[in-house]
Amino acid sequence: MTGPSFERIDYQLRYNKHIERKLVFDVLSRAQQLIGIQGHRYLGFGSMWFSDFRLAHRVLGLHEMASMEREKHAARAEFNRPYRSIEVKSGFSTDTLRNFNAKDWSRPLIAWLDYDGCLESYVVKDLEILLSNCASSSVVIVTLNAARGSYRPKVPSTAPRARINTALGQVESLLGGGVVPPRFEPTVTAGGMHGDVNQLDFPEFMAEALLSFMSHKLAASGRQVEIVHGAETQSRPLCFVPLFNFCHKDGVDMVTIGGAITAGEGEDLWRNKVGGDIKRTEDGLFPRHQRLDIAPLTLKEKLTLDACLPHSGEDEFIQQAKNSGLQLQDQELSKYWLYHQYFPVYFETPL
Amino acid sequence: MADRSDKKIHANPTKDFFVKMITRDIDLEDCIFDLLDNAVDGARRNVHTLAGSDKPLMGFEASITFSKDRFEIVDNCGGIRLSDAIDYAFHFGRRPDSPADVEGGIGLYGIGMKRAIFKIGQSAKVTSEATNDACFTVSVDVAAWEAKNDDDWDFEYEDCVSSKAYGTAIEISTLNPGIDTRFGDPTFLNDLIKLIARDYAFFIDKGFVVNVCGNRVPSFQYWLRSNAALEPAFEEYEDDGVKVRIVAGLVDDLPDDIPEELSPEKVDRFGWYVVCNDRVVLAADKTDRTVWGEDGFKVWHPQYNGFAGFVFFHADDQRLLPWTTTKREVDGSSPLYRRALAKMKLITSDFSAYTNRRKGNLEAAREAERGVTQIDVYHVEKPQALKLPTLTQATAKIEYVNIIYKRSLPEIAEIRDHLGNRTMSYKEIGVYTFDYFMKMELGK
Repeated sequence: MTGPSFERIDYQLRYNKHIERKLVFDVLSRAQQLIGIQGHRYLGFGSMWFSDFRLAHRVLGLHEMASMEREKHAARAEFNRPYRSIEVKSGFSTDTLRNFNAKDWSRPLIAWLDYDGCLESYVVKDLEILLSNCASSSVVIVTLNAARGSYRPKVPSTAPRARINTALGQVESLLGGGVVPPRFEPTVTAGGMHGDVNQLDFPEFMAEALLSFMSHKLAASGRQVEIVHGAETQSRPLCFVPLFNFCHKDGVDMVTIGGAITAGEGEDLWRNKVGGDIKRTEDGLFPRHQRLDIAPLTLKEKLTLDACLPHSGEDEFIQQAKNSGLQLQDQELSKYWLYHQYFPVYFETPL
Repeated sequence: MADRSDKKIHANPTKDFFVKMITRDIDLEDCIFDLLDNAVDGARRNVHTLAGSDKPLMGFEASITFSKDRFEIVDNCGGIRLSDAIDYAFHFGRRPDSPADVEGGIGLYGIGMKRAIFKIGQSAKVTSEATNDACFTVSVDVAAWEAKNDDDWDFEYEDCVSSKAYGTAIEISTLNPGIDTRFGDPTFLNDLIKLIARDYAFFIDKGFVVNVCGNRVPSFQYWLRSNAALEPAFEEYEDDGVKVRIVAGLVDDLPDDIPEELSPEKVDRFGWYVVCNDRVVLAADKTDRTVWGEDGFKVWHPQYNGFAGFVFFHADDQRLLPWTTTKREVDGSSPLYRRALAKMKLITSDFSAYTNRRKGNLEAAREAERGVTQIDVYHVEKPQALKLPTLTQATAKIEYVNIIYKRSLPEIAEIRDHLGNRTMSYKEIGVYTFDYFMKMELGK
């Protein structure tokens, strides 16, 4: 069995992850400006690097933060925490969340559960606990392995697959029957055997299944908040506004999805103001799935690309980059044009 | 002060009863299905033009769209004649002088459309146009209608410009609390598509098209397994003007072992189905609404996973069928239904006895159940009892023991990870690792 991911990876040197983190915090800083989330508490898996915690403090000005860490590694995490206001909570995440008291839940959270593994029943439990307890205006984000191969039970190569033995069936079994969007429904043969979501589309399927699960859990919870309008107080149901839907390759495909828990007019605020720039699916339910896997660039390539910026049009940028002698695919140039503002500057060091 | 001079007890209905009370007796999905039933009946009314085809409903479709703000169903199934709308279609309950409805239809009680509107929202617009008839719109403002005099139950209509789209459109807005939440839940859409696929399978098979928020509802086939040793039971008879067909058999592998827990999607095909005039009323039922635990009969047990039975009731006059106004329940006191239940119990008993018998020779049972072809339940025609493998008792009776031991969660996670099977139960992991040892070390 491989060790924890922090022993294999320096979390600050993965630039697709870096871009993803900046995209997430870009949305959160818009929320900071429009809604004011400086009083929120940050909750995550800081590991030994606390990269997201540093951003939460620097970009959002959050002070109160808690990092969940397995007992075995908690002391080292405690040593590495960059701010004294970060509380390292030792133990299994599900147990830690179960032990939160009413005071812990009374304050809205920015919770980013950045798992380095697969969707498992304890992950589902963690999400259920968060969605059943988080205060209105909280944001819940989750990152998970979304490589189809990690969810395909081994069956003899010639054996046809029943639904439960497909990667789709495994995710469905963990999240519940209604999470499979119609366009991913597999074809069923006359023998009752199932196809599967293809490998390339699997992260998108999984992201949408997770967002559906989170939306459903909140809708079905019956949770309400009291909203004061002048002299009148109204009960409004809490709902989930999906804001994040990314995939990047980090050895394997990883998806990051999430959104805000809100009610009443807050829904419009989060969906159309905070998330106003987010491109949505045709039905408007989810952010459009974004793949962030930019191929590694040399310093020379990056500087040449930067010299072509700023450019208002994608096509013109690609043309100018090609004219500069860059030997990169259009697709890669397009991604750089889209995400260059979030590209990491590695001269930074976490002091 | 009550007037006692006429010696009469007043029993008039109230609007509140229809708006707030009977809407509680029905699920949102079933309200939407009431509207869909009207579209299907409309299509059947016009079907004579395509008689003889194996897809007689081809060309007819209904499209449902909804969001957190509104609901709409639009069909091209012939529309309502204005005279029928004025005198019958909006009447609460079916008037005795109503014209004869389509033969073998699924609309019945004259309550579905109004109940669906009241359940879903506060404001509705029903626009309809029948061939060679007027186009009209009925606007329903529920609060204003309720506030009118108790004797005034009428809705107003307006003429509208013909679009030559012969059908009906129902748009409902100002959604009721809770309904907006359901419509905003993405799993509601996904589940609704699956439910329509399941409950309208026999209409979709005949060419009827249903779209939900731009997604075409797929056709769903009900199959039963068949091989030399295994064939579905089939029985057909007439009873009080109703044609009854019973088909039952195996739909999946039978379990060798009883699983510790089963999620709904793993068992949602097993049990009894009740189908009235092609509309699925009960699906995969495992309760005493069908045979299980009914009048002393055995209750459902996971040992019966893999079994599915279908009872089809068909009548030109849909009032003869044993269903209730929600079309999601059967009338358990109907003699017709009780007579069918007795036959369903006999088949179920044959099957349940086999599940006990096969425990004595699992290997032979598995072999006999292998190599199957699939038979469409709608096209089984040969009357026969349920044919199941004949098993001889294994010569030496094998005794079984339970093995109980503990292993750490990370080790279990590692096995799940290695097998790529994240939903394996602890018991399944125990069985798998034991079988692996038997194969690798003992060659068995």
